[in-house]
Amino acid sequence: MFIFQKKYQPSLIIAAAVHFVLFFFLFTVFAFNSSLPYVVKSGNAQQPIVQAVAVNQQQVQRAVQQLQAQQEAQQRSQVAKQQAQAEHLKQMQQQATAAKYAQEQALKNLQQLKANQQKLQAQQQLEQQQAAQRLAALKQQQTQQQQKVAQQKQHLAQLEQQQQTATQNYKLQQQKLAALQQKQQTMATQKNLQSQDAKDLLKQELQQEQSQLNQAKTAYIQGIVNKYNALVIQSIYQNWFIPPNTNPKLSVKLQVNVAQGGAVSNVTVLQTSGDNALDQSAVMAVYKASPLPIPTKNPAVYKQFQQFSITMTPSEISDVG
Amino acid sequence: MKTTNVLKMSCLALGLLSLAACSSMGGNGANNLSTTALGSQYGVQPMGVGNNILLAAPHNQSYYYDFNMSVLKPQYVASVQAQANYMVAHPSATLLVAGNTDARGSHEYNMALGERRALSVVNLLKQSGVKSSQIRYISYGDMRPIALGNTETAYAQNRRVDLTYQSK
Amino acid sequence: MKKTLISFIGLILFSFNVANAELHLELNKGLRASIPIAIVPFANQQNNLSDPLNIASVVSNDLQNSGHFKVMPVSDMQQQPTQLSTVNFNYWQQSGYDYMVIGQVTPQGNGTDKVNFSLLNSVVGNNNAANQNNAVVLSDSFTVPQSQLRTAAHKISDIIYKNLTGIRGVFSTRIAYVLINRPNNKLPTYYLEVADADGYNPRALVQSNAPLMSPSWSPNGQEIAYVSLANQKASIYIVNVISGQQRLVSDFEGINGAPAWSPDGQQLAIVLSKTGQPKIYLYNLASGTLKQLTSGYSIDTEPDFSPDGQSIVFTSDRGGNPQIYQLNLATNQITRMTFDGDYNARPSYTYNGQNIVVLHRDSEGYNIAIQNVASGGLNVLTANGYDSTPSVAPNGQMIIYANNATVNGSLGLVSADGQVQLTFPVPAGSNLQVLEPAWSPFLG
Repeated sequence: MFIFQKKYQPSLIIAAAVHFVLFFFLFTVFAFNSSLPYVVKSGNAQQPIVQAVAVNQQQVQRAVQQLQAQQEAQQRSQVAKQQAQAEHLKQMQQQATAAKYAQEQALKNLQQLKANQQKLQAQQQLEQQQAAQRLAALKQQQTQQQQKVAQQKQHLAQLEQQQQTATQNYKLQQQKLAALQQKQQTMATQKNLQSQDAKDLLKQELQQEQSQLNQAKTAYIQGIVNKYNALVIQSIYQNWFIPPNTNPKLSVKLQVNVAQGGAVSNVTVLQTSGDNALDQSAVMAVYKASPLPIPTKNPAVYKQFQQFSITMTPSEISDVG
Repeated sequence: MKTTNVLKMSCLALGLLSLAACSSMGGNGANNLSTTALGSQYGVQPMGVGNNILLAAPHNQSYYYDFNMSVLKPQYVASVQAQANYMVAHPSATLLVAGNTDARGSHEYNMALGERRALSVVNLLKQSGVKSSQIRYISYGDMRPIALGNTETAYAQNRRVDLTYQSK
Repeated sequence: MKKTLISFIGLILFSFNVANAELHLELNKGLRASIPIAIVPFANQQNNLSDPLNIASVVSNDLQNSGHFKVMPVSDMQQQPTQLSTVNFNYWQQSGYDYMVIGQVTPQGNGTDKVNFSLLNSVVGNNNAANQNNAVVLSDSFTVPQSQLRTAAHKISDIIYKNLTGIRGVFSTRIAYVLINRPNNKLPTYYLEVADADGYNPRALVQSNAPLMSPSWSPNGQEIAYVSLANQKASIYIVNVISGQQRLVSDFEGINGAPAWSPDGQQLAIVLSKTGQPKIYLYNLASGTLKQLTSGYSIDTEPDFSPDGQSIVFTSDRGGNPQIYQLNLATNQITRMTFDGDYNARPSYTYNGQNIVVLHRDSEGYNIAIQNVASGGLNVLTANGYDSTPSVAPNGQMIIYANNATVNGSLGLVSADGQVQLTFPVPAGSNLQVLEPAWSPFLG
């Protein structure tokens, strides 16, 4: 009765499977809906298996049509299923791509984080090294500064000692000279007894003492001048406001005229630094330092300061207020 | 009764139409398609990171980034994918992808960082089959903050890529 | 012949020295201090000190804000002379003001004023009572429209500053910056503004509803290149400061940013990401040709030409984090310049080329720093923690930068040695935000 054509064979198998699945779902549907009767009761409802041998033409045609409709439905569901499978496959592929991308991104994220961390560590190390280097440099600077201060102190002490020695020498020489002069006087009163030779000897001695005395005097004045040098320089320094961004290697040479009492009467630029602002600031500093702290009592020392020159170089700049 | 009917109907529909698609659809509906978020100054509204909005397509999106990072976080990949599917299915649709950074640092360096962020989305869209002609991208750097001020919260909101449909 | 002449001169000099045996002193140190100066209100302007056109007030403000002067408050002045003959120098020196400025503003009748001024040295004046003319350091005068009195005042400040510090003043320069107005519930408006160097006369040059960025002055001060993000894309434009006329320079796909002029004004260094990565290009303004300068997978941005035009400094993350690199334009050799910290960006040369100013991040946040090119030593100048966009004055003395510590932002000024810190006045308002300042070159 049923002719199994070869080309329908797989279709029919699939159809059977579809039917099975459909049955499964329908069963599930009925299982959910308890109000629908799904168990056919035995007894009168039972139909005979074969009702008649002879079937009429209408019945046959109906059966064929049913079969055809069934087959068409099967084919349609087949195509739908293939489309669904293709769709599914595509979506699976997209998911795979997405998952892969997500994995890549996660890995990238991790790598970026790791790299950042490594960099951070390297950076920290470098910074630590640099900090240590800076500290060492700072220490060295400090040591140098201390040495410098010590040197300056030493120099100052030397100067003071020199001056002291000079002062002592000067006094000693003066005493000697006084003694000698007295001796000479005493000798002169003893006119008769002195020989020419003795006189010559005495004169020589006297001359020698006099020259020694002059030397001591010069050293003494120089000592005072040195002392006032430092004071004058200090007072000009306190008034020298160096213009911003000045080249510390530039220097300007000024001539300063000072009136009795220390007042600055005139300042002229002997040698320009080439930087007008620096020159002006130097001139200003000298004027502002007026009156200069120079000795007024000792005319020999004042003479030294009446007109002097000063070279000003901004190699060291300190901050104020 | 109502729930069983819905379940029944969906199972019927699934059984008849597709056997396989069931697993991937999850539980989200298309209910969130309603309106395009507007209202903020730039036509961009900061959004939460709810999955409903993320997976909705076509739907404007904001993806957020970690400090100094320009890698798209894995949790946003499915969302970009959903927009890509829509864009492939609708070749006349166009998207603007705008990268942003927080306020810290240098403006022009932030422009570069913002562009890297925008490109992290653009590249995934292209990989998923969206045509270049459908995508425009720009970096606003730190010049279009959603939140002002120097707080971690503001920073986090500004480190983002805004994906805005220009036509659907 | 020549030889004998020289030896003759030498002999004279020598004998002169010996004959004088003059005392000679050496001073090798001085003080860093502000120059004390008194700007006496000018004649005809003594009753309107708060008038924006008051010359003495403008000059006082200029000099005080330069950080190099200590300006005498007008309220401390017991005398206000306007003529040399009436100056009592003793009073001014005793008050501690070494220098003083006097002057007159005389209306000319045709809407113009004649401005005379003299810079006086009160110390010299006090020491030369016999001849007060010795106290005059300089005098000058000019006639200007009455509306331009501020311009005249800035010119006076420039002259005084140059004379007393040896440095060219920047009081007649301008500052460009970006101003954002964010009215509630409305689209923000972005303005590219230009103001005088003291913040006065701000005026909008460009207005847009999309972000404006990265203003950069042409070397002649007549044009500004900037970045616009209008129409959802980045473009570089040049706007004429006087006429307001604009022209498009570049609008490739991706970033078009960070324009910087070459010192000769012929070329713009710009950043394009059309190949996928932000790279530095040289754009010839006359021919429109483009030359790619950097390559590779890294962010290269924020170029700035060295003053001699021989090299370009730029920000790059090629080493993993943003640092400053120098590109030698002759050899194409690239060398890393910054090593302090893991974030150094937005470099710009000071105008002598000896330093670069950068945005530097450390544990204190984002601050402005200066690095000596030769020694590599980096000195952090600010401590706000939220700074950006340093721009150096054309005389290298001051740096203007954006401080983003507040929502409104502000513009700060810091001296190159970090000693002076000031705030630059900008239009204020709760909805206004200011950023991206750019200092003009010397003008005129």
